[in-house]
Parts: sequence; structure tokens; C-alpha cells
Amino acid sequence: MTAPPYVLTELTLSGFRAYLKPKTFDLSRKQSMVVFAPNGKGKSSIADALEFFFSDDGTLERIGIRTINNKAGVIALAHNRAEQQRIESCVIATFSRGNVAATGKRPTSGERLRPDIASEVKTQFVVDPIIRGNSLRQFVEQRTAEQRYEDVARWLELGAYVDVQTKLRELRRKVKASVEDEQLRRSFEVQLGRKTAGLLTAWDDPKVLAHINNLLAVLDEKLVAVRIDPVDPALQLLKQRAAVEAKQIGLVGLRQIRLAATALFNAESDESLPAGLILEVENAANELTAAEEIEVRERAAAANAIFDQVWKNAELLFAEDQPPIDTCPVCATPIADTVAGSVEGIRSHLAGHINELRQYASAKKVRDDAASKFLNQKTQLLNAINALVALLSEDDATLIAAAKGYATAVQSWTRDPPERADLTSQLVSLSGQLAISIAHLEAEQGNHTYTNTQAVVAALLELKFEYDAAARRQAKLRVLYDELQIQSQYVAAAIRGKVQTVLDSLEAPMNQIYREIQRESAVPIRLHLPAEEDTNQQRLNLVVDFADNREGVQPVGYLSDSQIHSVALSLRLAAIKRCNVGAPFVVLDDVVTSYDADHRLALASLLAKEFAGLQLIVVTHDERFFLYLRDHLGDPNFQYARILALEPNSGPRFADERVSDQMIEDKWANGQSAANDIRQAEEEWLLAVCRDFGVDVRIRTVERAYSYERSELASALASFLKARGLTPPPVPGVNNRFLVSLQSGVVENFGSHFQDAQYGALSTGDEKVRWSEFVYFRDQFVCSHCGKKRFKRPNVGVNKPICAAESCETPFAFGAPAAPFPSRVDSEASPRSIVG
Amino acid sequence: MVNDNTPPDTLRSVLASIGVALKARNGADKELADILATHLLVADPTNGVVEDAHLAILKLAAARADLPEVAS
Repeated sequence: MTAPPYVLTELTLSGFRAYLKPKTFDLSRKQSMVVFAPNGKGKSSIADALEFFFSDDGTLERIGIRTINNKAGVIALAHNRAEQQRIESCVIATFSRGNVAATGKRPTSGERLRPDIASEVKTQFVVDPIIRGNSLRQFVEQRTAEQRYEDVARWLELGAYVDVQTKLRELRRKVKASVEDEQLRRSFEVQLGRKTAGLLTAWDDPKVLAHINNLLAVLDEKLVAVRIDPVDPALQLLKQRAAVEAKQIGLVGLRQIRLAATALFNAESDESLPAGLILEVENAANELTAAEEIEVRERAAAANAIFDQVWKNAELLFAEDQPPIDTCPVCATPIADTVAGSVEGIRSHLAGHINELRQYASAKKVRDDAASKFLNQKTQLLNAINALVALLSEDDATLIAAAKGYATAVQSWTRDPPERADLTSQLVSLSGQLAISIAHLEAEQGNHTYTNTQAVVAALLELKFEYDAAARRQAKLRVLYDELQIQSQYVAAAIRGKVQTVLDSLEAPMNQIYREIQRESAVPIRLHLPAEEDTNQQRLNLVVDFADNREGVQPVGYLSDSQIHSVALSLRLAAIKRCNVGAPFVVLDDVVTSYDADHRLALASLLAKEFAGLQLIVVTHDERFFLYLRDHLGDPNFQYARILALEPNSGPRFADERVSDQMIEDKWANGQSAANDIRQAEEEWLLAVCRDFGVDVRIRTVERAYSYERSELASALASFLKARGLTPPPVPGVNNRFLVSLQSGVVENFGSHFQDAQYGALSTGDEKVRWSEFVYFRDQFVCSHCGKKRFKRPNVGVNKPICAAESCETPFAFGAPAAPFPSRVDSEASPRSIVG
Repeated sequence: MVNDNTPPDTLRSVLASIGVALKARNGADKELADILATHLLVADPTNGVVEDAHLAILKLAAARADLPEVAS
């Protein structure tokens, strides 16, 4: 069961755009509304309110969020005096769905959160229901095929469909790239090269197996693998032998022990091989002893070094560039009386002492360095002894004991070297034995141990496992890619079919609407998708079949302004009607700007005929369009409102739809023409009196609703009155009768209905003359008994209308008008005074 | 106040029906169709949806190749 549609039942604008004080539009009984206002009086604020209420960002498209790039920003949403007058700036809307109503409020400040009901209703808007005349033409004239596609795709959700196609193409590209990926293969080749010392550069099972068997043959010619598999018997045996080998000291271990032993004492040393740490420490100890002896000697020579500072100061005093002095500056002894005997003698004495001090300092440094070196090498020696001990086995207990004993002696070694003969002889013996063992192993198998070979084979087995897995995965991926191609084609075809169906379903009603507006000048419009093989499907060509030799051409260049406007309007209206089923709601904001009178009538007729079932919110500055709509959409679901003025302290001021005498007087007082208002007032009065009297007025079909006009009403009323012997008294001073004039239709808006000929040109008083004639005529339709102006249909047995007042019910009869016809109308240029 | 038009199929329903039809095709790889339906035939795809679908296909290929989760 389909859920009932959403209907807007109330809309309130508070401090919003042109509306300062809250204004509520009650749409609960009459759900559609037509609002007329001159430009700049706040009519578009109604459309703005709805756009804002539903918008994603809490703003209007044309003002944006921030004040930047010619956009006013959200600050323009609020009426400029709202904050000052503490009026909350917001839009409140109530929507009903069946018997359930929900109201939401959206403030224009703060986070401007969209109310839930707005979000919910918006989900029903497949197509944006707000149509603004000022942006319609852009669709046809300025938008590119891509941009136009964006619009239509957004309306019809085609974009999402084509987006799926685009993503499918992208997915196919990615999967294909994975299928053809060479990087993985190259990675295997690099790894294979490393594990085979460059012998193999491409995986090939027989070659890899041959390589493994070559490795096995070095160890044991009987070991032959038949496949590259961990369960192969030969490879199993290799694994077992490697495990046994791991428990023995292999070539590497022997080399390591020998290296540790020779690091301590190398009997075979020569210029290229060090003699070992034991001898190096002994040498360091000898160097230290020698340095200490020199230091002691130099220290004695410089025994008076405590006068070091005195000598340096004296050297400055007796420097050659200083003026000579005669007496000692300390004890005042004449220089000639000193042991040196002269200044030169003192200088020589000083140089000798200072040199002794330098030699002592040098000897001390040598001794310190030797001590440091000795200490470092002792530490290295102890570490090397410990390293050797750690490598030795229990079979080497004698050597271990000797090494540990020697290490203990080294730790306390200060001057004389500890005894080492026992240790060094054992080290020489061990080194020799190890050399023999190493030579034997090297001669037997070199580096090709079971352990090494097992490691290489294991790596190759692992690589083989990964290679096979990757190959299987690539094979499966290729199968998936082939299937993906098939499934993508299926999806693409389904989507293209769906898109074309949607476009086709839109094209027919669009053309129907277009023909309704443009009539005989309408040429077929087509929505044209790119060819299927075109990779850019996100384009929509909008073309017209202008003539037999101009089919499928761009509208711009062949269609008139109003036709182009109609193309865009038709497309939008058709899309809304077709798609917005859950919220059949249309907002038309000044959509007749490009239209002449005929097209306005046609659009009004179209809306009445095709869109009366939808909720229409129409705002227009075109009064004729407003009047046409009122004529055409005269069903009980419509209400009409006029905005008279924009009040700074409140907002738009609305008038009742009926034109009052005061409204006409006000227009004249403001120096404005009231011709249209007079016309409307006449029609309103004629309709009212015809309804009251029960006049038989033939109701037009909707196709010709606009021809339902005053002449017919007047004719029907005249016939009604004549049949009942009711003759309206003539208007004094004029030579025609009002109803006759209306019936003949020869005199239109700007001439008197009582004259067969028009008034003189440039007669600015004609409106007032005409109005006074009408008012005089209208005021004769009063109850002769009680003076009331409302009547009701005749009762049974009475063929005249009767007074609507229940206490009166006097049959209608013409009497004297309520007010005498003015003796003079203030007409500044009328050449024919109605006063005869 | 009713719009007499039949409501257009929603994007979600259309894409879902395509997904169902895709899986129901004779000889169709249903697991692959399921990947397409899950990742691409949705009304509100997330960012990186193509990469997600790509990885899902690679994973499917790996699973079919009987690869262990972590190579030892």
C-alpha cells in the first residue's frame, strides 16, 4: 500500500529575508497558493524559505554560506532588524501525511540544523521542486552537455547510475592491472637469483630441481631429489643430516676456535700476522717500565720546578723587548752583583730552567700514555682469554685451567709479566691441531655443509611454495577478471536501459507540456544520451527537431527566448510531476518573465489542466499571470494573496484577494494606475452578483478557461435581469448601458463602458471616470428595503432574487442608487464630461 | 492532493534488483556478483568503494587459490 504524499499545511517566515514579523501561511484547507507582488516586495522570500528549509547547508544557493565571491552569506538569511527587535529568525513548516502532521523549525543562525521533517520530506524530492525563472534559461542556453547532464542526473538520480558504470570501469582497470602485474614475477626472479647465486633468473621447475641436485651431489652423490617438495626422500634425508651436523663442531666452529687461540698467541706470526695479545701486553708493559724510568730522571732534573711560575714571570720581565733594568725588582740587588752578573746572564739562566721543565712534562706524558695503553691491552687480553674459554669444550680442561690461571695473574700484573709458558705452549698445540682439522674439512667439503645446503634448499622450497600459490592466485584472478567483464557488461546494459527508460518517460510529458505552452510553434525536444561505446556517458544532449533538414540541433540558435524558456520549464515540470510522487509539491518563482500574454495564459491553463492535482506555490510579479491563474485555477484548493507593500517594520503587507474600493483609491493617491484593479473589481463584482442571483453562467472547459470573462458574465446577468423584467437605470449623462457595453466588448479597459467611442488619448482621468460609472451602476444592486448588498437565489414561486438577510428577504428591484452620481469627476483632461 | 504518477523506482531498489538479477544469471559467479552488489550496486557508496571491491576480488582469488592466511 502506497503511503499518502506529504502536503505542506503551514509555513511561517519569522525574521527571514523580507519578513520581519512572523507571517504564517495556512495551507491546511486550501493547499495551493498564488502570491502576487511587485518586485522587491518579498514574494520570493516565500520560495527562499522553502529552499532554506530543505537545503543541505542551511542557506540559499545564491547567497552561499560565507560572504565571499559575490555571495552574501548566511547573514543575509535573517531580516536586518530581526536581532535588534529580538525576533527569532527562522522558517517553520508543517507537513502532513495522511492524518499525521509534523512541524519543523530551522533557525538562520547557529548550526542551522535541518529539522527531521525537512530531511524526511526532502527524501521524497527526486527533482528539486523549486523552479526559479531567473535560472531556468541557463539550463538551455549556458549549460554544457556535461553540466546539463549533472542537472538532469541530479533530478532523476541518473548520476548515481552512471557513477556505478564509472566505478565498474575503474574496478575492471584495477583488476586487469592486478592480473597483468609483472612486479610479483620480478620479485620472485630477484629472490631466486639471490638464493642460487645468480645461476637461475627465472623460475623453471626442472632447472631449480637440477640446481638442488647439484648442491646435493657435492655432499653425497647418492642424494638425488625427484621433485621440489619437502616430502621428497632425498630432501628429507638432507634435513636429517643437517640436523646431525648441527650438533658437531663444524668448519666454522673450528675456524672460530683457532682464531681465538691465535688471537692470544700466534707462534706463526710474521710481519703480516700479529703475534697475539699476550706478547702485545708484554711489550706494553716493557714500554711502561721504560717510560717510568725516564720520567723519574727528568723529574729529578727539574726538581726546582716548583719555581715554574717564578721563572715564567721573570722571563717576561727580562724579555729582550723589555727595557733593561739595573736592580732586582724583588730584592733590589744590583744586577751586576748577582750570580748571573748581567741581564743576558739572567736570560740564559731562565731559559735553562724552563727547558728542564718542558722535558719533564714530555716524559710524564709518555709515561701516562704507556700506562693507559698497558691497561687497555690487559683488558683486551682478559676478554680474549674469556672468549677462548667459552669456545672450548670439556675435552680442553687443561687448557682452560691454564688460561684461567694466566688470567688471574694478568689481573694483578703491574710490573713483571706473569708466567705464560704453559699457556702459550698449549695454545700453539691447539692451533696446530685445529689447523690440521680445518684443512681436512676444507679438503673434504669446503663450504658445502649439509647445514648450508639444507638452508638453501629450504629457501628454495619456500620460494616454490609462494611461487605456486601466487601462480594459482593469478590464475583464479584471471578467471574472476573474465567473469567481471561479463558481469560488468550485464550491469552496464541494465543501467543504460534504466537511464534510457527514465529519459524516455520524461521526454514524452516534457514535450506535451512544451506543446501546451508553445502551441503550434512547439517542435519536438529530445533528450539524447551519448552512444553506448562512448566512455563519457555523463553527458546529456538536449536537442530539438527544428525542421526536416534541421533535426537534432541545439535549441539555442533555432528557438526564441520564450521557447527556450519553455523547454527548460517543461523539462523541470515534467520531471517534478513524474518523480516527486511522495511530495507532489511545486514552487514557481517568477517563471513567466519571458512570456507574452498568450504564453502566460497558456501556462496558467497548463497548470490548471496538468498540475491542479499537485500542491502549487506560485509567486509572481506579473499581475496578469496572477489574474489568469486565479481564473484558471479556480478550484477550492487555491488561495490567492497580494502583497501591497513592504513595510520596513514588519515585512510584506498582504491584501485580501478581493480588490476593495480603498485599494483603488490608494493607487490613485500614490500616482499609480488602477486599471487592472478596476478590471478585477468589476469581474469580482460580476461573479459575486451572478452567484448571488443564481445566474446561469456557462462554465468553460479548462482549455478555454481564460475566455471566461466579463462579457460573458455581463451577458448572462443581462439575460437574467431581462427575463425578470429588471432594467438597470441608466447612468446619468451617458448614452450607453453598462451591461450592454460589457456584452459588446467594444470598449475595453481604458475607455468608458458607456461610450461606443473611446475617450480621447492621453486622458489620465479615464480610470476615475470609468470607476465612478461602475460604482454608480454597482450601487444600484442593493435591497430596496434594507439596503444590504447580498442576495440569494429566488425561492420557489418567486422569480427574482431575494435579499440575503433572513429578516428581510425582499425580492430584488432596482431603485434609486444609494449615492447620487457625482456631478463632476476630477478628470484633468477628459474632453467629455460625464455630466452632460 | 495526489500526483497520479506511479512513483519512480528508487535508486536503491533498482540497483538492488540489478544485483539480484546478476546473481541469478545462469552460470554466474555468485561470489563475484555479491562483491559487485555489496560495493558498487548501492545507493550511497562510501569513499574508496572501488578499492574495497578490488581488494575483495583479490581476497576471493586468494581464497580460491587456497592460500593460508599468513605465509609461513
